[in-house]
Amino acid sequence: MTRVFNSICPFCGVGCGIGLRVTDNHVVGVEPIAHHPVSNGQLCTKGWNTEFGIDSGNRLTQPLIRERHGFRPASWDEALDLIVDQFKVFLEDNGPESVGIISSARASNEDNYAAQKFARAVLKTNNVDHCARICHSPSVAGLKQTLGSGAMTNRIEDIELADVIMVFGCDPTENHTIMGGRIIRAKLNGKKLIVVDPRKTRLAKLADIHLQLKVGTNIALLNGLIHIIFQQGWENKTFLQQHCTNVDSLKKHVADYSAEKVSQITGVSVELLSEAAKIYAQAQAAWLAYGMGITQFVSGTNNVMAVSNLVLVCGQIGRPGTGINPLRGQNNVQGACDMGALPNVYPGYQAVAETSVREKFAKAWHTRVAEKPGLTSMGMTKAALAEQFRGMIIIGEDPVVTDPDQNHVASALQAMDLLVVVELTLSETAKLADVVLPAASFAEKEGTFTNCERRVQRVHKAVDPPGEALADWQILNRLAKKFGSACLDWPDTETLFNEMASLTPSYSGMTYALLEKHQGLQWPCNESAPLGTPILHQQGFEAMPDRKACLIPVNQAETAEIPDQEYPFYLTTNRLHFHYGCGSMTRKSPLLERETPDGILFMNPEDGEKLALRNHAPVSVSSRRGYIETRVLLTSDMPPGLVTMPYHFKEAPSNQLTNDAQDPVTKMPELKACAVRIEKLPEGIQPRSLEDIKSQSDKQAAEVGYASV
Amino acid sequence: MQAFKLQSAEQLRDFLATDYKLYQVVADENNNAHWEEANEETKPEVITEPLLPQTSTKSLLFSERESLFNFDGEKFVATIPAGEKKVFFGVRACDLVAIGYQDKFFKADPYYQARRRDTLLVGMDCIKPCANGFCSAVDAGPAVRENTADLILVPPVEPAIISAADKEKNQWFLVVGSEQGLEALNGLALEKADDNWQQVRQAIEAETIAAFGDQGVFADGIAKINQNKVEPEVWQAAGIQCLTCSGCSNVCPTCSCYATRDVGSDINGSGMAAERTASVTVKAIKSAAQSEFTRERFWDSCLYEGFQKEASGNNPAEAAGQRVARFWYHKFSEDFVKDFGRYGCVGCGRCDQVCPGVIGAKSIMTTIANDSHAKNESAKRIESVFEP
Repeated sequence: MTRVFNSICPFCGVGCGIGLRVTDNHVVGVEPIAHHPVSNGQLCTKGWNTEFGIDSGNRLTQPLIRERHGFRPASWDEALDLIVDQFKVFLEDNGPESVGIISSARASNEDNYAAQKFARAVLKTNNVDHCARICHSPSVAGLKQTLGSGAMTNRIEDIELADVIMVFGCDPTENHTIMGGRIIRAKLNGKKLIVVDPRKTRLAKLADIHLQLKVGTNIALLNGLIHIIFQQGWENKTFLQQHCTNVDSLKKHVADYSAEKVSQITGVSVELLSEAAKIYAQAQAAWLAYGMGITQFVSGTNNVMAVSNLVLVCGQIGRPGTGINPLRGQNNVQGACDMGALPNVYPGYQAVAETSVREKFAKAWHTRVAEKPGLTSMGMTKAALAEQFRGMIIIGEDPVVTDPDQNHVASALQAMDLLVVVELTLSETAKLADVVLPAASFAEKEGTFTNCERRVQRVHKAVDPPGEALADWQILNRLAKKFGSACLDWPDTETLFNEMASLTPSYSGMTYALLEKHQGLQWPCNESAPLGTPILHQQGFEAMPDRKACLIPVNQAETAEIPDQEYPFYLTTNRLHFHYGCGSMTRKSPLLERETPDGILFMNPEDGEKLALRNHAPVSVSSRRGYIETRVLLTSDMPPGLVTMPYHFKEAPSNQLTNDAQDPVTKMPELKACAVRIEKLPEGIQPRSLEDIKSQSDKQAAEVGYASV
Repeated sequence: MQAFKLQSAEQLRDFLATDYKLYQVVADENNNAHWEEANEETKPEVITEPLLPQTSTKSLLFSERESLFNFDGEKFVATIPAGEKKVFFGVRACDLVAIGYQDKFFKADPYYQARRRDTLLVGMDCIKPCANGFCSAVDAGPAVRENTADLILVPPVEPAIISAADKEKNQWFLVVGSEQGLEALNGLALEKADDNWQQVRQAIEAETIAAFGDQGVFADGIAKINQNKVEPEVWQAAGIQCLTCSGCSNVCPTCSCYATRDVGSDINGSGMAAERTASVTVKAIKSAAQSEFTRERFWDSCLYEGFQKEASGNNPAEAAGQRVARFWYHKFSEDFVKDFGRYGCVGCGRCDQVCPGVIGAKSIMTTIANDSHAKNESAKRIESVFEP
């Protein structure tokens, strides 16, 4: 007997409605939900392949404990006792600063709330973080300063209400496909489309204007556009006067960025810059989206503020069809941030630094909470390398594959005295763990996800978890009990959600019943907005002084690494439509695995010719940090001098090469630009996987005669 | 053909449900509809609105994922599903035509046939156009086609639009479509329909067809596809718009392509391990041959680049535009009419709803008929998709 359970797609931040088709406690297939407000009966290829990703195939079914020669199965009691005993020693000897939790942008709001509560109320540490650090921490930091809030200001469906759509440093048809499809539809309906990207993306091919800037020149381009707008008098004077501060200083600042100078820095012609500035500024309603091409730079926070300046100068915000819309990468990265799985904020972005906030939560939770500020995920790995950090629980993330400079991450994790990984499968990170705990997938638990447009949506349990696997919040509940704390003792997720909503002002009006009835509600949802807030800032900028947005002038800055003689190419990173993150779910689908291209280093054919490379030729790629082998894929989608690699593949992970130089504000690593050298491998050579490269010593490699690892 | 008067669809449904496992369309409060097995307590009302569930009955006969056989290290054991006496109650004309099409394709497929054999098909005429459908343009509706159903329900036309003279339209008819259909009615007391039932049904269909409006783009588009007169630029542009989601082939009620893989037991022996042999490697064959495994088949899509890729790496449909062209050739070419007796498209319009790239049937046929892309500037900037 087949039944269909309505849920939310577990991949990107768009949050499409997905029906799980269940036969005999097994998800046999999926279907789109026809009348879903976000996806209108559509799914991308990742969504369509969900059933393979959560297959029981290689799922963990019981706790595992490391022994000298590998893992052995253990009971929950034994595994949890081991964790508690060890953590108690760390807490006693080194204090709560020596332990921490990495929560997950893939887990539910309920799981994330439980994780930060466990850290703050049980372990008494603010060392809690998740991977938003390496996607949109600059959005939160930047937009908080300029607008007062770091989330998408408008709805996804606003794309249809805009007459101009600007896609800046993101590739929505590949990464946020159903949103990308809406942009295609809008373009076909006669809306203007402007794409800003160093690569010729799918949308760039369809666009009216493609500003193909050089990598890392975002601020110059944005300042140049703003300068042209002021020069031509295209700015929204009424809006600036009523809703913004610091106008004159921005105007003065961008006067330094003449169109000619900007053209030289960015490689975009003066004519195209002027045309784009005019179309964006003069639109009735312009909807702007940006992504990792803005945030993953050492200038990430400044990049975000530069985008915000453009939007504000033209007054393209606070109305239907407008807005500044950071596209979130994970199904629940918005929710993980909202839930306070961050070292500096409690749920609802209430600052850890504020005594009144700490007191509020201590009172509500009936316990003392952490006092000292917490460490970010990279702070924790650095502390581990300095032998100041001893125990970590990682929930559903695979930093060994997804974080910059992998070698560094792996050695940091190994330097810890106890690493606990809560996972669906034995991921690369889990392989390094001392204790592995089996987790329930999204199809196996109740809860909510918050999509990138702030819509909180229900997911439903469609099947039982395999073996003894449990939902993350249940695991933390059991662990808390072993620590002698009843503070995570909820009977079900609805009780948990209600506690969270009572402490999180922007979620305070939400209940499971309301979320169900309205197919999700967008925060802030409270007494004054009982059915949520689809569009932010309609009545000014409520979180800012005088309700006014702030224009913050920023300067163009170079990337941390610039190509030179030794490493002559710029390497950037991209994602493929067919794969998601570290590939732990999508690569389980035989159909998606089949779509993996033969080579994953994308290069302009001119560069290929210079290096005498035919299409699919084997190459080595090295940076100051690492070495990998793969095949080259020649395509004029890439400009000369720039190569790109997706990070999904553990055989040839781009994060062996990427730079962990950081944005000073948010510690966001510069994943979008580093310098690499590319060398041809002899014809007929099969590129070696990272694993193979590592298992062969330098000496052996030298004997083979083609690689210097 | 004979027909009876019926008090309600439920009258027939409840009668059949005593003898057959009942499958019908079930909708939630937001009108999201699915084919589901309805159980005795929760049998919902029969939906007469022109509401096409987003997925057809396809997966109930051709499973999206099923095992074909097990190998225990010594012998192969086929895993043919057990047949069950069931009724699909209220299938629309387009989906019935699609079942007929699949019956031909899967004629020798024991897995499909095991599910199909004891299935009674109760069709239902559409009396209003649905959101995206164009069945009348491809001879698949709106009234149930002959020889596609065992029984056919003709629902009453909404009273609001019925004049006094049209009173006979305001009642349920039951038309017998096959011997099995007639047998299934054994034991149900029914009054014969008035002699003019056929005229009444035809009149309702004529009104419904008229309500679809102009469907000329389909005839024009089909002609151009068959005369090979579609400009390459149209397919190139469609190739950019195709996001390779596979949604069209998944929801298409006549799409039938599948792939297989062998899955062995995992280390814990707790289920199936992902040994990927869809892209066959020597290593995979070896490991499969050495141990127990199950051969699984699952829906594939010709829109994937890997679908036609050969072992040498050569791909006759490497460019996305070529794959889109091939898909529509399979749906609208005369070349398939000799084998299947009709076009592969049944006009359900599900692809138009499911396609994020706006190249579903109605979109693409409108483009082809109007050939607007040849004049579209963006088409000139797309050469690079056809580069290797």
